[in-house]
Amino acid sequence: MNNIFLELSGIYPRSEALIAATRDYDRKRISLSQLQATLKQQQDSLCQFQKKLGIKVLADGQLNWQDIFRPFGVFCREIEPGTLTRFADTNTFFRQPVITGRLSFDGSRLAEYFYGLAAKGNYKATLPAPFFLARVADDQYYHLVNKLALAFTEVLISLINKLKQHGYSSFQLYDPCLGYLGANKKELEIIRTITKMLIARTKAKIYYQTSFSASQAAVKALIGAGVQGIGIDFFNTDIKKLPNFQGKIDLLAGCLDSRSSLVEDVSTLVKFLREAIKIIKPRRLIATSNIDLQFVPQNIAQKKLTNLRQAIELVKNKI
Amino acid sequence: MLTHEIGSLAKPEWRVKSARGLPITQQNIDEAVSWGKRLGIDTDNLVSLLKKSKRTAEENKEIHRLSSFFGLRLMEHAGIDIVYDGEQQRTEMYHQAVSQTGGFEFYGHVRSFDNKYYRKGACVDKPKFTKAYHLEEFKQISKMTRRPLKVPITGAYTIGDWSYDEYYSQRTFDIGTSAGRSARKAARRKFVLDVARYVIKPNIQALVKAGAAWIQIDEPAVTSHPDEVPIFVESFNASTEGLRGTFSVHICFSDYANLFPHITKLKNCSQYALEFANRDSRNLGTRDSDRPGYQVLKLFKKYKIPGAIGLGVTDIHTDFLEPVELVRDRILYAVKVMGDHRLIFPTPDCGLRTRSLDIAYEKLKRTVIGTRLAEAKLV
Repeated sequence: MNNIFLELSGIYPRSEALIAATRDYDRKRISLSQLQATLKQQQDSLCQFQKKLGIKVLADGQLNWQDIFRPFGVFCREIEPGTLTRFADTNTFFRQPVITGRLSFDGSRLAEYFYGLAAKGNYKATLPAPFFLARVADDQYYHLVNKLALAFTEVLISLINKLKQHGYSSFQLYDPCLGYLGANKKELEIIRTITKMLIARTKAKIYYQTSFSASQAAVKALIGAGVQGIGIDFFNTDIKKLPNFQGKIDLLAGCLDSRSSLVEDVSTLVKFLREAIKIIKPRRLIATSNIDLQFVPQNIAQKKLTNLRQAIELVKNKI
Repeated sequence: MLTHEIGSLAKPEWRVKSARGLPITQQNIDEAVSWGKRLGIDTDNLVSLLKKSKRTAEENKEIHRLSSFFGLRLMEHAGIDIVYDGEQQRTEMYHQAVSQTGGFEFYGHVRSFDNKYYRKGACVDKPKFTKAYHLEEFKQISKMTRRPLKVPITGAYTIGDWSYDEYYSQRTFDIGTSAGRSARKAARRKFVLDVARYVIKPNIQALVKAGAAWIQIDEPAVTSHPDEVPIFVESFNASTEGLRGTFSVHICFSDYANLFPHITKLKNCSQYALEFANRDSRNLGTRDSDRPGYQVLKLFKKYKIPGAIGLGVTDIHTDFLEPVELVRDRILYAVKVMGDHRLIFPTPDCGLRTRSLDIAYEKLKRTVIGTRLAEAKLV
């Protein structure tokens, strides 16, 4: 199979240099422009690294996103950062989005958070799925998960349409809650409906990334929504329990464990990739991590991605 | 009702700089003197140490000891009943424990939130007890006060959860299989239980032998994997099995509903110190609707969990100074739900290290005053 690619997903680990710069900035040892210069340097270097790995659709690593929701406080005045909340099973926290009013989109500061707007190239963006935001938010306005999910979908539609005009070609909706908390039939129907609506009104390539275990029912609902592809965490999902994609959609195969420092060896990855192609029969296989790589230090993330690149080459060349 | 704190306080600049070998400014010295005056501490010895351009290792140790003394006095001065030193001699709850335990190596930094990071260790060999890493600190602090002490110690589950595991799960690499997943889960249980038996228990044993009456096992990560709460229960029991003393647990910033019914199997746990204020409203009142952050208390009642509640009444993530009436109402509500004021120990939500000493002091003071107001209402 030649339709096999490598991509980054979500927030990438900050380098030790950027970590030092953010700390220095917080302690008022450097200015904002010095911090931004380091950030830019790190974004450039991450893009160079991806090009070396042969990655075609680049991610900027969201290196200045404090969490997956925070920039939306800038794009929507009515989303405020709330209390620190533990993020699923990781020893990390996000600020719970507090919904204080009817959501409206303001695209005037997008360039601060989407590196691709100012750089040339083919980019992807990882964005919170509407139902994910709706389930974890402190909703003081809509008071109904469905209503909030729908309102946030409108925000995403405006955002995606704007990003599409500036070189972004692929959008990954990130929904760890789908696997972590599960979803009943009614909730899956909502996810299906709003995803369908988002695709219809953006005509964009939308990938839906689940993390933790993915159920058959969830995968079927997403296929029904018309997504370009589905992301699966294969450290928590048995490949044999998934439906066959029959060559209709892509598989975003999470086969690097972002929670583990053990670097997956090439032969294990090769074995997995072959199995995934044989059992799931995706249109294209995009190999990636099971969740944001930010949960390992950057040097480990680099080793993992390098091994995955090698494994892909071996599978492509049938060695 | 007895008040206590949870663990950490911010370290004064003079303490941080002396540890890093950085120059100490006059402003840092003035800060030490000013706090000394406020807390009734003679700072002559400290000031002469801080003024030295070069200090010996022993002198730096003395600065750390004095920092403990400041932390302890700050709590006493605020009126806290059961005290410790604000973890002034420790680096950080995870790093302190793992760096002094065999079988671990440290890798790079991982982000905790915003621009806050921690150095994450990896278990690369069977964890080994190498020294009782809080013993010296406890011996020093017990000589500094007559108030009862509560020693915080990082728990086995949290050490397991916050570390990478390259030892127990090294042969569980299968990707995309149920067998691989089950093997990783079994490896996790073995890892945590080994830390409990071979690292935490010997540490607690040494503290108990030295006279520590109350050990608080810090397990902030417990409910982040709901299906692993039983592993925490096993590890708590293994850490305290056969030991005499008062043992409690501190858990925070997670969904406590996941603790039930598993914690009915906890043996030897006399108190659950939990964060509540962070999730509560700032309105006064003792009705259910006034106190959304404290609803989980009903589960403790429902499951008849033996043991008291360390009741977080001040939010450690904001500089907002809780009015004493708000603290009072949070306590009164908890007493109403639990049905017995002796089961309530008012505390801050968690360690106060992210707040300035001024704010931390005020929050501790308000915890105490609010408690006294609640007591007056209960009479």
